[in-house]
Amino acid sequence: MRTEERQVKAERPSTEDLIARLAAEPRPTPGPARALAWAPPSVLLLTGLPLLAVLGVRADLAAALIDPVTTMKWVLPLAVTGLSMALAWRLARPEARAGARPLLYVPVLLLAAGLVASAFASLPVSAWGAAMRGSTRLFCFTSIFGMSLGPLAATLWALNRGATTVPNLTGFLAGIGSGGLAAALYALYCNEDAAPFFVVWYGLAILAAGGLGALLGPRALRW
Amino acid sequence: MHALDEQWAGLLRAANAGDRQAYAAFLRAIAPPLRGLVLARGRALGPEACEDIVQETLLAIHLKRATWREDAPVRPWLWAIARHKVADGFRARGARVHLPIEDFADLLAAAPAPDPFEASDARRIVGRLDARSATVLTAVAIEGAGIAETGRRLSMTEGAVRVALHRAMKRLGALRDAD
Repeated sequence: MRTEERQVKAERPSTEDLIARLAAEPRPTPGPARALAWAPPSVLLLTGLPLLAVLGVRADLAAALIDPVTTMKWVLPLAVTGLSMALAWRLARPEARAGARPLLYVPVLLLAAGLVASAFASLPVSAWGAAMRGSTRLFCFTSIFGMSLGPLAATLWALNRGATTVPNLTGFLAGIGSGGLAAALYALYCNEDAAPFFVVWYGLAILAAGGLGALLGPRALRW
Repeated sequence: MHALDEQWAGLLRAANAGDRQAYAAFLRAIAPPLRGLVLARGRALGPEACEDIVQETLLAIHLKRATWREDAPVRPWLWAIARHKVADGFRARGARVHLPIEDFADLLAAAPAPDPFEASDARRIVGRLDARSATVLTAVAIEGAGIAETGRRLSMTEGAVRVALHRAMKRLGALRDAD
């Protein structure tokens, strides 16, 4: 008798009502994939291009794009962006975990370290500091960080359509992905081509954007 | 368990394609195990709060159903959402609950799912009985202790428990009719 009663009452009326109401709702809104593909680059262009227009594109852009070391000013940040956005997109699924995928950054980091090492190898130790400091570090850092804010907001907005269960990490990836986009845009203006300079300052600005993303993640990616 | 995954995947696929009946069937199928999970972990919160958490979780599953990829198994996805929302729900209610992931791996035997309001309603009515009947009835019917266990607790013979229970039920019926 009692078990029968239990079975009859297994679905409490209001949960049953909730189910009926949910089932009557229209088709689900799509996941983050599409939004993630268009929103961050659009916002980057929208907010970064005016700044670039003010600063001006470097005059020797064509030559810079052929130089193997200088090209890395685009290759490295965009590699970070590609890896980070792909991983963040993956982590937007609730059951996803990063696992060993962060190892994919190792080649990028090795390449960056190799560039710095080879630049240092051709300089006396006393000149290393100056090569790293360059002459526009503060402006460089601030500009990249600043230009990353718009794309970061767009990325978090897009990822919010997903359901990450690791919001700090996903936020961090959104941050460095956006920072990479911003750095690649800034590189169109910046003509400091010494690897120690751009690896350090682009890198720091990208990491700062990542830190901000990690801070914002739990709030922005709540669901 | 594979069969269950297949079945749920089929329902959810149909649901995401717009089949409302399949969607309702999916939600109905997952609600009992979900409830079992929440009740097993959150007894201290009381049955109403647990049912609230069940509903919050169902709502989250509903809102995030597009994050399930049709080629992925349903259960890891489902339990990841459940784990997240259940932890959230417990946290919001100030309960410290440890949720080891293994609990979610295989959980699917639908735990008994008593009506949460049944218990509180019953407690209220039981409160109007005499002390002896109330004690016996609470032990047997609400806490789910067996006849023998109740007898041990109250140092009564099983026969005496049965008799007391029978009388309590009669009085309860009378009270209910009087309402």
